[in-house]
Amino acid sequence: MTLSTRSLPGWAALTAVAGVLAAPVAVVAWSLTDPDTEIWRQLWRTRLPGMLRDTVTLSVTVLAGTLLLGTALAWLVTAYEFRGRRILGWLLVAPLAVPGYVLGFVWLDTLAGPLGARGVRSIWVCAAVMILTLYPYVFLFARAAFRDQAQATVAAARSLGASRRRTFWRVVLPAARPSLAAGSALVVMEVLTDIGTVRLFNVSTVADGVLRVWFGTGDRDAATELAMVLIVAAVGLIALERGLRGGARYAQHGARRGPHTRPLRGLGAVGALGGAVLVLGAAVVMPVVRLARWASDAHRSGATATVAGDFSHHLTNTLQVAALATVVCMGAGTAIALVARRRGRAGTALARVASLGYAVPGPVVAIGVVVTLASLDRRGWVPGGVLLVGSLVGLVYGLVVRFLAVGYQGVDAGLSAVPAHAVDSARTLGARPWRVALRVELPQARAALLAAAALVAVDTVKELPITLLLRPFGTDTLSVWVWQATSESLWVQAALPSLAIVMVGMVPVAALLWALERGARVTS
Amino acid sequence: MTVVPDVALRVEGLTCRYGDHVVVDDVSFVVHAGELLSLVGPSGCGKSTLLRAVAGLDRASAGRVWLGERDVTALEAEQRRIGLVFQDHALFGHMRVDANVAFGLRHLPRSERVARVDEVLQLVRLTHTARRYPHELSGGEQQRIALARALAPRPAVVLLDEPFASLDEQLRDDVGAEVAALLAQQGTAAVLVTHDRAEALTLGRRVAVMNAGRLVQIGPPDEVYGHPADAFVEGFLATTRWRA
Repeated sequence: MTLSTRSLPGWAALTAVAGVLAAPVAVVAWSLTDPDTEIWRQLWRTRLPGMLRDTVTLSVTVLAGTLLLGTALAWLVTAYEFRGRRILGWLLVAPLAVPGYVLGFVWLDTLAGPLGARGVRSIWVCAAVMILTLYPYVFLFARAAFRDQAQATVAAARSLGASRRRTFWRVVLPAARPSLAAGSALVVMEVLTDIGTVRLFNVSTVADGVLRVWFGTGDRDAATELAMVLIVAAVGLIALERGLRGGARYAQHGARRGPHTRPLRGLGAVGALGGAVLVLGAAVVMPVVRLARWASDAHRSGATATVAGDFSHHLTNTLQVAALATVVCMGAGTAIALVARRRGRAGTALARVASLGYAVPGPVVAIGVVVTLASLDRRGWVPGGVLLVGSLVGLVYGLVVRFLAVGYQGVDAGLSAVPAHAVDSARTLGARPWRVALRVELPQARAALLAAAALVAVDTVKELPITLLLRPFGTDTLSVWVWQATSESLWVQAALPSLAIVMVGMVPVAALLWALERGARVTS
Repeated sequence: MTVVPDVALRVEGLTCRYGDHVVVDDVSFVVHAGELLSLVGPSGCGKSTLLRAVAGLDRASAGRVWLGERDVTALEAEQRRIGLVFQDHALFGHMRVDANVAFGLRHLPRSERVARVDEVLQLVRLTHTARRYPHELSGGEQQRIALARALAPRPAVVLLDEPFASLDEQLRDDVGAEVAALLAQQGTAAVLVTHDRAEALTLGRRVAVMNAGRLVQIGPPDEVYGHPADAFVEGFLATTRWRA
């Protein structure tokens, strides 16, 4: 049964929107049908084997590390009672606001002493940095899953004679599997997409290769071909995640208060808390303190501007781009969620098509945007379309293609929590579909809407590859400033914009936490 | 088609199919003006589906629905003027009580709207809750507000889907009797869907018994109780403690 027999108007318009959002991915995927063998032979002979090896090594290591750290910390704050548990639960999400390319250069400098200038630029240090910045994804999903488990289920397992440990491994963890799979997929997607962190540590992943080919040789065809590797990897990843979920939703009935907590005492308490504090120190406190020192050094020596402009120029651009991208993402995401829910399978398919960009790494999206706009221009459909490439429109287009899914999924999760009977009641009281949406559905999903908007905003502020490739000439953002300074190992000059990114990112993270406390959910 | 003037709701040959599964099978009945019809049957007999199809929330596969002389079969739920009250009350949690009740009155000018809200709140004796939020009310109060909200736009008929099932037993009888009296006082035709046999027999002026998607018997309570149409109705009502 579908939710309702009555659809919202605007189906045609939304199909068009989905098409526009899917186009950049589609044009890159199209090149797969006609691979240039010469380019591939060249790539195989030279860099590709190394790239694949580094990409796989990095992905597997970071995945294992984030799963271990994220799950352990989530279990600590849901199953045990200790002073500061609530605050720790909040603080442990904070690393979400610290981009890997910022944490990376702080640790690069810190460890350069003991490990040596060469030794520090290794794939293992790179992986450690990424684990520290990405574990919150697993943490958030795992915590939500642990909290969702009915108390009665855990109690039943215990009454059947299972020890706490056995209950965790046999009941709690398997039930959390779909959530852990979702969190892991996000982590691996981030690793595949990253270009800032890997560049710092001289790790040659495929994404890094795309960028090098683009900038180094200017050969966009070769870059596009290489990007296909990433699309294939992303599609494989999504299939794997679906498989791990097993198509099942482990809905549990009964009170969703999570397992009974027990007090944390003795050595275990010291160890667990010490570990958590250590993670926070390494991922947030230490880098912020160092950045602040460097920033004040830079301020004293007057190195607080780039050729593009001063600090406020970069900050304004960052906020402007993030605000625009968030508004468009949330607008399109909300409209698609509302309409798609009323269209059954066709609606779900439309939403998937529009969300395609999230499975595709930033450099690929950027290439897709350029190719799409250029070909629209060539066909005369969008006269002067190629001029949009270097404009704010092109940049926001790319960011929306990439992050629409974040907004859409958040809104959809919120809408599915709205009681169906409330919608039915509104209809029998004479409300037309749009009034039902605006007055009943969206207000009841407002916490979820805020959480989704917060996630989109954090993602756009931190975003590097699309911004780097598509930014209008002369309008640099904070992330571009960090990229340029760190490319030349100018840590002191990179400190101020880095600090600003972390601070700006903290606001949406706080909003996200507030929304989660009010019952918003990270998955549908 | 002759339409008797005092018929508020007429359902003719209503059928709901999902794939090969027939949930509601060729059901016909009428509800007269000011009458309360109980629709009773075991869980899963199709009574809630029938109600949703009458309200226009789900599409029927066949059959027609008339409100008085108006054929509403092709109309959407929001165009039908049929009130609906759910078991879970389905009040809008983000709106105050007065906004909940006013939700269906958008077509009225402001002053009339305020007057009508006040009127129905007086009817359910909950005027003092107007500025509260639904979660601040008791279960019984929420139930009455849900009824007030459904009655406010003066619907042609009110459908109640297990409206008392979420209330505790003691409260259930009182609220049930009060709601029935209220509807009678307003002269509003109503269909009360329930699985509670005693409730159906006590509150309904007539009782309709459903089984496996079909309407098996319809008539005054004492007739249905005293002269069951078949073995199913007899067995279904036999265990009920009810004095005709």
